[in-house]
Amino acid sequence: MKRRTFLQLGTMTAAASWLSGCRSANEKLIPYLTPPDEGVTPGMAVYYASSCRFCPAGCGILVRVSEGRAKKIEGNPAHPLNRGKLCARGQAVVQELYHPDRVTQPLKRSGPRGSGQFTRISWEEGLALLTEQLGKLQRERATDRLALVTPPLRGTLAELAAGFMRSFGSPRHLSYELLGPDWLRTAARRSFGQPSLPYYDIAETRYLLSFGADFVEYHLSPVQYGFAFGRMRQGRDTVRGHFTYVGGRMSLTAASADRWMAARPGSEGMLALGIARLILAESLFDAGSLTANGLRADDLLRRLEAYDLDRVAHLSGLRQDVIAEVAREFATTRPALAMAGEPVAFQTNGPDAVRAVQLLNVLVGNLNRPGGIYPDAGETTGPEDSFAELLSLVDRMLGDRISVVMVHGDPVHAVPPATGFQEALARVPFIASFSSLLDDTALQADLVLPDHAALESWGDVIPLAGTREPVIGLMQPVVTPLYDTRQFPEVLMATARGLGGTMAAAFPYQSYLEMLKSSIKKRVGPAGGGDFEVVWVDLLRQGGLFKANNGQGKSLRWAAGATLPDPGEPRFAGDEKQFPLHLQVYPSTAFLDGRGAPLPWLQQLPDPMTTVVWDSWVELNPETAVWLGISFGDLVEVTSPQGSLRLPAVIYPGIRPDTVAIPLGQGHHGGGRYAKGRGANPLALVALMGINREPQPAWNATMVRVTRISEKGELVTAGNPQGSYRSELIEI
Amino acid sequence: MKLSWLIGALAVVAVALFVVLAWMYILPMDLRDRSPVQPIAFSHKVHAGTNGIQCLFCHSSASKSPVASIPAVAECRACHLFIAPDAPEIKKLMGYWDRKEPIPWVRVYSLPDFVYFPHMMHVRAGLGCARCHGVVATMDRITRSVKLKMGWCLDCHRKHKASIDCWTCHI
Amino acid sequence: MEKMTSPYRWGMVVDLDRCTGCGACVVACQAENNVGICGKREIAEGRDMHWLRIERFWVGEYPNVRVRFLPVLCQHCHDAPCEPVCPVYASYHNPEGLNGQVYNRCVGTRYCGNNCPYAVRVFNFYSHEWPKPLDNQLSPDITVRPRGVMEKCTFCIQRIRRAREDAEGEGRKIRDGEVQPACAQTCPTEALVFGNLADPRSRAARLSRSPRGFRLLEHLGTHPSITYLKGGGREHV
Repeated sequence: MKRRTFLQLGTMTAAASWLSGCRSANEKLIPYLTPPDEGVTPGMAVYYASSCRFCPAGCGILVRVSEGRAKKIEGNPAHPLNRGKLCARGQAVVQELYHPDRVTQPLKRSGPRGSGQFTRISWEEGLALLTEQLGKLQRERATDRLALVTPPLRGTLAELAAGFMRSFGSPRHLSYELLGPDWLRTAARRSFGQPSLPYYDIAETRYLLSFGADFVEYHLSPVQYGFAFGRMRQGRDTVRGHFTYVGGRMSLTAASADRWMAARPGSEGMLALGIARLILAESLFDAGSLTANGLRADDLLRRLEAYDLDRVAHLSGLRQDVIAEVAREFATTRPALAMAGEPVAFQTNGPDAVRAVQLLNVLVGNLNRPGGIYPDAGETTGPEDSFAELLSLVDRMLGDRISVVMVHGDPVHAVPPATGFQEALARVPFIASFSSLLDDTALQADLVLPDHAALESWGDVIPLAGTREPVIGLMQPVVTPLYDTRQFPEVLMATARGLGGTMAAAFPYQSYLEMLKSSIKKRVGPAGGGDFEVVWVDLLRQGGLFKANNGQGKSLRWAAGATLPDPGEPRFAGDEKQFPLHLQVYPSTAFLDGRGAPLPWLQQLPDPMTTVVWDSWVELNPETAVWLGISFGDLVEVTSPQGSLRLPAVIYPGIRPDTVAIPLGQGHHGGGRYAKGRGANPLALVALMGINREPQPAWNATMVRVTRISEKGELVTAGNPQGSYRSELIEI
Repeated sequence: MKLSWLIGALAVVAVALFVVLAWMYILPMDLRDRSPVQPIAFSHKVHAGTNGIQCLFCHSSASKSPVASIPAVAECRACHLFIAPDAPEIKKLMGYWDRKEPIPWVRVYSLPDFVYFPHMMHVRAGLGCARCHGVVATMDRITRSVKLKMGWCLDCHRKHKASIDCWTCHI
Repeated sequence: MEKMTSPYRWGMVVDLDRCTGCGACVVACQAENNVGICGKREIAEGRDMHWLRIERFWVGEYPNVRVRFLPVLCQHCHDAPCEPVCPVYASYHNPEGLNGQVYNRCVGTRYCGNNCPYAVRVFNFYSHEWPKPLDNQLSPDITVRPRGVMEKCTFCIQRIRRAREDAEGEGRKIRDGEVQPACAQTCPTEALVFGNLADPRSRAARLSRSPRGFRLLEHLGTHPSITYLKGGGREHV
């Protein structure tokens, strides 16, 4: 009854105020000033096709817009990549647009760096500040003191950024992303002679063997591979594809596997070679494929002799019979497919371990075959060793040879501090950030020139991988920009115009949209026929340029001079006695490397494996937890040679007893009210490991120790509110 | 003397209580103006009556959208550039256009947020606009002619064998 | 209650062999249905507002441990325990086989939630806030439920309604696959299939007859509209 009474009282109060004020209780009915565009019916939602740029996968989206406001993001059924499907992150992007803590206009730092004190300035002032800094470099003939830091860019944005840096005269454009697939490109170059990313035909395969490739969460193109996985399982009438997962931690992907092989961290490559040796020794290989790839079985067998079953079982900590069984299943089920993922690649022996997995594919003859691997149709121009470029930039910044850094993205959060990036960045006299939220990087910046949200932007999105046909997704603004923000490419162009001379001449376009259109026009070519404007509108309506050419002309073949992969035993940072546990950092399902953390829907989304919400945690095997006296939800301290963190513990039955794991994504200093000060960033623990003194992105080669602090971990999980059903009761 | 005062006072209190309770029982009362004064004295009588303009000519979404829509200021202006441009009310209209301001019409028919009313389904069912909106062709100023109560909706739905499932209108 | 008939009986099939537990459906549901954003404290009190949750079960022990995911949403039972207990008839059975919840009727006794064996009804213990301009995202097709009201999965009734309007406008029935709730629409693996069970040829109806099918807590006799398909061969090859 309470609510009713409340309503009645409320109405009475309203009535009283009406009687006293004599104001009409009638609402207003506000018409349009000018009639809406054709095709828009008042009261009916409109769908706009666009593309998602939240992660490099680049899915096609449809945005439902009602009364000029974006309501919901859905997958674009016409897009060949995601076919109308979309992941949790992609759908939450609408909250990036309407985030309550967006930067609404350019900001100039007024307090010390990191304090978050800024003064609001106009765009004229903001651009003048940036132009002044750059102009000074030009006058001093020190143009190479400018650095541009972005995630790997593709399409017109890549062209524009490259053009800007080239015409300015600085070669310091760093395209770095923690989870960038550089390692796959490098491996492909060394194995197949071309740095192309693979396209895995999971849907048609009958035996999937994943070495840490977490394609459900983030690997290359999660929505496309999720779709394919569904088909592999139940999409064919008589065949149900089998899935075996190799990795020390049971990831979300591994949770769907029929068999989980908890191999010791860093041993996956040697395990792959052990499987290869067994296939060769038992003559289960595809002879035709070996010949076609210029390999000889007896020669291979001789050179893989070191990887006998006994040794591989010892190294990986797996049972011999299990390894042998998997090897036989893999070799005798056709088509079979082996994938390598980030946990394997981010070890000191990662590059060769990835190639060892590729060799397995050659042995069972699934290159360029249905159910196997094809070269991806996307651009092959991605970075191959951006990590080395990162370190060289850090060196320069430390040597005070960089005066101005322009940053797009949040590297302060997503680059491991062991690289020295944060420390080096602090030495740079002038930092300009283009973040639309005051994220960790923007907090360090002297000038923030806020970018549009994705749903306010123009752009082309070329999917990273996941299609065999060339795809260019288009982004179009679905709502009028909320605030006084400007798109990053527009700012680059405006700055170039401001600098004048050759810089201005390098950009003959009035706007970024014009540049985008001319680039698409080139891609369409004369085939588009007559009026490009008509073609353009059609492309926007469709969501992009999709060509139905099945990647003709490109194929994979083991390169003639390619060496045999030799992973060797992994090395780890940290003394085994002092730091007895392996640390695995993995991208969280909701936040990826941290970009999802500002969005409340993703914070509230229970982590699928732990059901934890609004937090980060460390995963411990039950046995390890007992040994360390830790129970679920305790606050623990994780210490590595690099640093230490405090966070709550989760008892996780799906992890090796000698391994602990922490998800990436939380631990922001900025990033708005939902991300700020929440959880911990495990990158602070990661140590830098080198091969032959050359540092490698071996993020999983750090050893740690875990100690209990207290019982107050303040961990919140969202499991079944009535406690778990017993699984036999619900018959699964 | 004192006692009668007390009885009298108690009786007054009882009556007052009864009145208040009775009033609360019939709440929520509809306190909206049935015939509000509009910012421009737009006459449906002239438009729909004398000149016989069809309802859907101006309220064009009614047949295809949940909302009936009212014409954009530009659409009013388009006709009145030629028709009676010097009338004082038309000058007001032009004033809104010149200031690029939409006209703040006062809503006569409004439903609470938890009610879904699709105009197009009712138009498709062949229901005349006058059925709910009254004979606007005779009204200079629009007056609400019905009480928008759920019982009134249901009566009509029952009569026409339309769905009376709660979720048809409430969600 | 008056007898009402309908050519539709909405139902869903959840293929657990396809489900990877990725959580796309959970966010889709929240985005579509104006479901409140719950903070850490609220969830700690067991007052999470998600209409659709993915339950996770650990089976076995390391190293022979397995995980199973079970998306749980309102089962739209045909003998629903939630319906008869509502004192104000806010919880009712719809002629198309859905468990309705009429928000403007609900007085918040929470009897229905207590009686639901699947724990899929959620109660607004707090007023939820959408700090400006987050409220721009709120869908105009659905009410924003105030504090004190029970809410639940509707199989995206607003989408069903829109599809019916379109179909009636063209003088036909709703086609199979024409209407999909937000969760089924977004599911990357196509684990969720929605359709008209009254049409034996619809995809959902065909799948619901699969020998892998079972219903959640079937022994309670609630007769749910959702059929789950067992994960085939999770333990063995």
